[in-house]
Amino acid sequence: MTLKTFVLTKNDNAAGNRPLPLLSVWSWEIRRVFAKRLNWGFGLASFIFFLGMLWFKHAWEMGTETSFPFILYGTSAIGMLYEFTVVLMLVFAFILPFVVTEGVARDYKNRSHEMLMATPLPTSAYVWGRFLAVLTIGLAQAVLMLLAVLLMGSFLHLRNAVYPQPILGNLISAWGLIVIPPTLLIAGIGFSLGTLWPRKTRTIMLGIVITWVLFYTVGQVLWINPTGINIIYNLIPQFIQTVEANFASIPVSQRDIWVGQLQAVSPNLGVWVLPQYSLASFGILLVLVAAIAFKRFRNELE
Amino acid sequence: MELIIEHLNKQYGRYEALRDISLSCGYELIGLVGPNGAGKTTLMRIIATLIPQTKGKVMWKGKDIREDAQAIRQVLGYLPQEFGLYEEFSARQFLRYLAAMKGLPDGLARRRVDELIELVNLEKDADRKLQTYSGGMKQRVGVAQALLNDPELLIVDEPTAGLDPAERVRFRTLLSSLTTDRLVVLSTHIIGDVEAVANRLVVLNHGQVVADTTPGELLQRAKGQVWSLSVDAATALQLQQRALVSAMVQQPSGVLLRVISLTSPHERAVEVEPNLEDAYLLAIGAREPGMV
Repeated sequence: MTLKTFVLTKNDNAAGNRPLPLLSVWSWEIRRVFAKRLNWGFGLASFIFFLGMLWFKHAWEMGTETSFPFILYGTSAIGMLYEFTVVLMLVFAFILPFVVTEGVARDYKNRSHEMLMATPLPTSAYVWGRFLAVLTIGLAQAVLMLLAVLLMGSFLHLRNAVYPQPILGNLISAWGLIVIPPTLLIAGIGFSLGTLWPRKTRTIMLGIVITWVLFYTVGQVLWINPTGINIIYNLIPQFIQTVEANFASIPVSQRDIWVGQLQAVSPNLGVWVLPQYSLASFGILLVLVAAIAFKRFRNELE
Repeated sequence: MELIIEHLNKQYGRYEALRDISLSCGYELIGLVGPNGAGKTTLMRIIATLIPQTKGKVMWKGKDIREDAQAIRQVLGYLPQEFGLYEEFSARQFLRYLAAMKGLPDGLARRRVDELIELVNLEKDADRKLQTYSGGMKQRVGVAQALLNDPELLIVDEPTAGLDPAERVRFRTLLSSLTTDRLVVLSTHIIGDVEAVANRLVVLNHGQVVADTTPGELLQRAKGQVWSLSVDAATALQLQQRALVSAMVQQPSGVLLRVISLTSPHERAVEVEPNLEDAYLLAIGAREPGMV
């Protein structure tokens, strides 16, 4: 090696030309995720899994006597809420913690944090950039879920006209209420705890999953519940009462059509927006705490 | 002086990792040597603003680095002893990523990355994923990332670990070429590395500076304390228990020993010129009773 080889381009840049640190962190983290083929496979597998869950639920309903005197179509306004809450969010909450918790902790595990933390990258840009990146990936998964519902709903409608055509507006409302707030909440909780306790990420992931299941099983009466199961437990009985009160007076030949029309009417979801998005805000608040409390480096001896 | 360290202490609970370290450093190449657990890595992590000291001050160009950590990070190149790379990236992508984290504008970052890839001899493999790299190749990527911002302060912790002899020579040559207009702190166990490039040696032991001098001066101190002799195996074993043996070579006629001792360790011992390894062993405190 000759000495003349080490002639680096001079630092002739003005400070104003530098990229925004937060955007740099976010965009490079997204590139990193996309650079891994396994992640593409994971995304595809999730999509297929969501479709599979919806199909399984449909096939199960077709072959089983249910307590309802009618079919609750997954593509209807009320059915969508049920599909998102009872079918999809249960599995999504098992996937999401694994996507978000190691946004920062991964650097500790593969020992790249020491190199990274010696750079002038501001701590806040690092933490928030990483959070936005994991949130983007989490939301991308949520979009895959939305697409799966749309695709399966359209397929079922084409296959059997009794299934109403999914209405995009209703679908997005249900998704925005049932899926987005818990995504923000779980992303916030998983990411912030994983950032503050990077060596405890497995416990954190497991804790989130267990808590989620608890909310599912015992949180039905709560007014505020991230799973959305409380919303279903409020809306479905109202719907059933309406059906039961009028069912006998409807001619048998028209009952399916009547029930279909009834469940196509979107219920008033406005009352649930505040509790759901309060939970989402709590998730973001936790990230703020993590960004403030974040230590740039953790020594094994400390 | 660019870097001034004043009465630096670092404690982990009751354990004192650094004890009253004071150093003044200009643009030069400092070899930081010492046994495992001497405090080298702790000292470098404090200078790199990764961990806070318990007591004392570190000043970079007159400013306390705890008060203005960004000032030193802007001009710092740091290669940790152990580091991981994003294996899903190629070397080029990884270097561009770190260039972005260091705040280099895109155009400058691309040119720098190309230059550094050439410098560390990775042109042919630069677009291959890092998961396919050998340990030595990864180490070269680590060296390249430390130089991305053309640092005024370069801290390298055991940089030659994992490099083959030819790569070590390349790296030492590179370090030598860097000493103009910058301060380079090179920590290593390999005395040969510092001997080849450092104009100042700081020897740490048990968290304290036990020598801060030039390699020549350290050698001078060891004069008259290094001996060579050829003995049979039994005598060699006895001598090994009584004195510090820095080299032992099995020969057809017996065992050739190199012994560090204040006095002649044996009637057949001949005083020899010390090398830097002998001088280093003396500086960190030999185990022979009554020595140093």
